[in-house]
Amino acid sequence: MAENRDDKWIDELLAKASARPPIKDAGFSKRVMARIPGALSVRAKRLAIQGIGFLVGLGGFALSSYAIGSVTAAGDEVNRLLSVTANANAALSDLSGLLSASNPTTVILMATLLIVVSFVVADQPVSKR
Amino acid sequence: MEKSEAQLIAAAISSGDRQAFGALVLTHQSAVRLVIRRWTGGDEAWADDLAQETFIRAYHGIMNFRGDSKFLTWLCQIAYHVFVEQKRKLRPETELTDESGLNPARGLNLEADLAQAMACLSTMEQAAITLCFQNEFTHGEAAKIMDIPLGTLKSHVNRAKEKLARLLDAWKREG
Repeated sequence: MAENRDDKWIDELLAKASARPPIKDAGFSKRVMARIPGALSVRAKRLAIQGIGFLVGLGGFALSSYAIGSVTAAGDEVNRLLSVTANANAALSDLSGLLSASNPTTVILMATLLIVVSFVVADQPVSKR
Repeated sequence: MEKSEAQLIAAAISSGDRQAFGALVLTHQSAVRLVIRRWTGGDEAWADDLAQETFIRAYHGIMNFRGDSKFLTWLCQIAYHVFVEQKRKLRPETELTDESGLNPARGLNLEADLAQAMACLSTMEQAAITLCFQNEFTHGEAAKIMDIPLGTLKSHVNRAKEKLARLLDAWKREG
């Protein structure tokens, strides 16, 4: 009981010291929001990264096509590699043949659809993927 | 028409609505900054840096808010983690043990005496006592913010109160 009475004065003292007026500072929220990137800049950054990825991929493909012609050394491994890349190239030329035979509108529609799907997937938060 | 807090949170979670989150920052900035200012012993510049970091982390992790506590409690939970992390990095635990060096019996400025006495508490004790007594969180909410069991929080509060009572003894005689 005496202990409770002893405790009470410190509780009251702490309560007395806690009275502080709220901080009115609209500038704080502006400073915080300025440090959070906007949707547009996030999209621009993502587009730049995807663009670089696309160019690197394209460069790799061009380089591999060029390399097929330049490899001259004989050997099982090289022959196997050449046959794999030749098959891949044949498949790709089939695809390009298929695309050139198709209606241009369909091709553009397919490309647009692929881009939209890739952006929608890229926009998903990591936890939702 | 003004949106309710729940609607603002829903908008921020579902589409990362910056405007909605900005409104939430505006609503809670005062409470969060006051809590952190108490933890930093009144260092307003450092407290505001920590508060900014808290809101930025809250924006990036808002999809983790499940609504099982008040939004302010959730924000203070992030603030506490930010504070402890920064304190460990910048200002290692320097609990004063030599209480004879203190002169809290000046009886002129309660705020200054209390700040000096608070400096003698551990980070956990400081955080527990400020949340429960100076920011009016319940013991349960304070335990959630500090991510510790309720019993541990109560131990910290009791120990902090004992130390403060000893250090601020002059205020008892004045009161």
